[in-house]
Amino acid sequence: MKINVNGIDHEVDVEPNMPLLWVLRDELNLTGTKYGCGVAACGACTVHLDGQAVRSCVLPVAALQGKAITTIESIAKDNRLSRVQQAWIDHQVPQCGYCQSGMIMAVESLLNNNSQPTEEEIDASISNICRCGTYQRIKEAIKEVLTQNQENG
Amino acid sequence: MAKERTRGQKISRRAFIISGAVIGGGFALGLGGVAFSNYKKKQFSGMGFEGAESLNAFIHITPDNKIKLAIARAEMGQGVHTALAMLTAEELEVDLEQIEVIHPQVESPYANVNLATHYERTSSSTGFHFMEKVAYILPYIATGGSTTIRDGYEHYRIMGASAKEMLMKVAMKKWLVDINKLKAEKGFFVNTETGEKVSYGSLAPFAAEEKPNNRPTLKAKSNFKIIGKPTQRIDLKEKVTGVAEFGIDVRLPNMLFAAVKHCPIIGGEITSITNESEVMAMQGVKHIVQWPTGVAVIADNTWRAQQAANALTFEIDNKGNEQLSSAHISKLLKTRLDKEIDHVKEKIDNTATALEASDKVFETQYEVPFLAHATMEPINCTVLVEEDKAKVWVGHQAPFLVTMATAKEADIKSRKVEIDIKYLGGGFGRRAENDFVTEAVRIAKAMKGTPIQMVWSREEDTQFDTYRPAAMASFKAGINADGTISAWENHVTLQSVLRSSIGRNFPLMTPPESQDTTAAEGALGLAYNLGARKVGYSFIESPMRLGFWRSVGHSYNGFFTESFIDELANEADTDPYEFRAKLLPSNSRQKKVLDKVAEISNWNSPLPEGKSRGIAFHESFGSIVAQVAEISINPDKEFSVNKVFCVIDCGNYVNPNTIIAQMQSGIVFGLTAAVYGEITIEEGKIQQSNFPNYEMLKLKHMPEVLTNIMENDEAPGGVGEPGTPPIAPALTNAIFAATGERVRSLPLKNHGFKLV
Repeated sequence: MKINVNGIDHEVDVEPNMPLLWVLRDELNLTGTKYGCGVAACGACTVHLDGQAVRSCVLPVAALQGKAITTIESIAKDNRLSRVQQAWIDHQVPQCGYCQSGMIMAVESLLNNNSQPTEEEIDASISNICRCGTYQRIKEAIKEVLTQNQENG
Repeated sequence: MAKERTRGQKISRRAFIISGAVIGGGFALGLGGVAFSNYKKKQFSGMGFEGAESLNAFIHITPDNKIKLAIARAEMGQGVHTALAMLTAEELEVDLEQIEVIHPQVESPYANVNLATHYERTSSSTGFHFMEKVAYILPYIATGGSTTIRDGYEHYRIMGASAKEMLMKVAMKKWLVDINKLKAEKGFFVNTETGEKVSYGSLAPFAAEEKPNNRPTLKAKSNFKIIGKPTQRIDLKEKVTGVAEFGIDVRLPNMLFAAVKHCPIIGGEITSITNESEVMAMQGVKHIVQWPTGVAVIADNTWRAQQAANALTFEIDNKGNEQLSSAHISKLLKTRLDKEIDHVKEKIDNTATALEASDKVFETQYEVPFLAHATMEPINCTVLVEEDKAKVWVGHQAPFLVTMATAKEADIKSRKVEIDIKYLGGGFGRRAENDFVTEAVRIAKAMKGTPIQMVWSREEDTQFDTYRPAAMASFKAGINADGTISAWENHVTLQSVLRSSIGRNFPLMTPPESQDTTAAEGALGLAYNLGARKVGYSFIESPMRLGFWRSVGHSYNGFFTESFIDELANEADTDPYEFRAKLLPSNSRQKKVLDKVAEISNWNSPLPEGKSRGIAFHESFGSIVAQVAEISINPDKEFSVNKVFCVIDCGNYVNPNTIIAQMQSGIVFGLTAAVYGEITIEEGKIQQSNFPNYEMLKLKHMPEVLTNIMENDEAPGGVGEPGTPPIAPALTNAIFAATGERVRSLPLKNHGFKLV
């Protein structure tokens, strides 16, 4: 089976119903995408499918033919952090860091689709679980990116 | 390879002797008269520090001027790698960017003496010295009890200062200059007369031959450039790019993956697998391993292993636990609660007489449920067992238990166990257990020579946890007409955490019932003036596996005591802050913290209709925390926590960024438990399995937390746990203020309250 991850085509020998998460982690060794619950409840496994955030732990690989998958590994370009990643560092968001790949992927997707989401839209859209409780700094970091968006028109 | 090893061992022996001497700095730290000779002779491997010159067991400098710093503490989000690097950098005069953290092997110099002696400080000095010795001999390498900074605050500075002195002696000889002509900065010495510069890296081979000073002069606090200043964490770039390696991310050539199914009945055993050949025929399945409490399927992919494990059918022996239920355990707690206290741990005057003489007597009871840890990274461990040795890759809070458990299960010598400690995707006490290491070794032993990564599904993680115990408390207090308290009786009932956890992990050290120092922690030695006191605990027995859960005994006793104090304030018809303030010694650290939280929360300012405040105050792990929760609540019991004002006195501190993060973190952890947290049991089975039925607080629920850190020159206190205990009572006290409804059992969802 052929899948396109971070711009590269991969041939993988897996069952069609294997969730994308495990193809990424165990077949392609792309371990930045995390396993948290296996039932799309926590968001640790969030990746982009044609630019939209999806929870890869319940996404059968067969459904991904011809689609572009993006994982946390390709968000920084040429070793340059994205604005969301940089804001994450500026606001010292991560603690244990385990949920943050998924959190960043969810936020990247939200801001790509809507450069000025309201607080309600952010609350509704970012439903990932962080057990360390980094939520306050996540809000602050998102706010900073929104301010940058505004300044950049 | 052989050559490298010889070189490594040569460095190590020297480094170890040096480190033994430097650890002697322990004398200067007031750690007491430990005879270092008894562990000094043990081998120090120096593994992980090859290619660097070792100035002591902690500081290893490479020719290109990088500092490899040994930190045998788990980084599970508390920021300890950064904090310990800051302490070292301050004295060594290097940039944090120069420091690379390496988790060393389980070796004496890295023992956490503070944690090992945690509960001996207030008891006998014999017990203290015994545990101090035990800490070095084991050696006790563990992260917990909010002890990392308390253990390392002086230690890492001494290591840095001692290493800098050794380097300086070489620089002085090189340039034939006096000490006052040398300036250390960013890993270089500068000759201030000539402007010449020399790197630590080039001096290190010679410095390593210098005699270390185990009592170097440390900087005065007023001269700190790094300690106490808001500092960026050193591990965040890898954590925002997906590069950070957690235990579950370990990938090795030819590795296989294992999924586990445990016996669904608590305390039960799996007697046989009834469809083994069918499961073996499933795609990718390589092997099945069975033991009394579980079965593992080894496959070539985690998902295939999980699918196969889910397909297993087996026969079980319930061990008589098929009728176990939460209601049954609750009844045991209540029955025990209504009898006399088994272990009275605090007694001041005669409470019976004092109660009789009181103007008013008030009594009530509280209850909290079992809780799971729910670390975001499900429990996992990767093991390679070979003929006479083993290697373990794992995120773990107690590497010494990893070594012991691996040696035992693989039947090899502990010095033949190599560990590689990874980042922990949360710990909260769960990763201080060795149960999952033992299982992973058992599984890997079945396929010697093949590295196997065992990952528990979220369901297994939730249902085979080592839980925070359910607990009940009864209180009885005498109140005088002037609002003072004349008597305080408090009885706590639960199952013993220490006996359960230590009994599993380290049976030889299992304390008797009377010595479970966690059961009543947070109920004993309260700073309030409470008149006559009688406080203690009694235990029940059950087949539940219990463990350390962030803030341990404080997690329930904080809720019990601060709810009851609030009830007494109401009985005395006094403002809850004023009532507490009057009970605290004037000018005490406790009173200052309480006053500060009242100040920053504008406690006395009126709030609009539908809003209310609650206050709580709790001391734990060497720190004092007060919190005010400001909530909105409607008649349908829908509520939000809008703000939490938080004041912490943790004495001298290292990184204020981390303290602020840990207060937010502790508050979210405590709020999650207060609102949703509940593990229940029916017919011998855990009812919760995954996040949809073991709910977590989310972004939309996050209150704005405003933290204030008290400035003083007191000994450092912990910050990982002390933020958790006060938030539940602050919230329920706010609910009482708004609605008049007193919540005496958690979680809030069981009382019709809904967080929105």
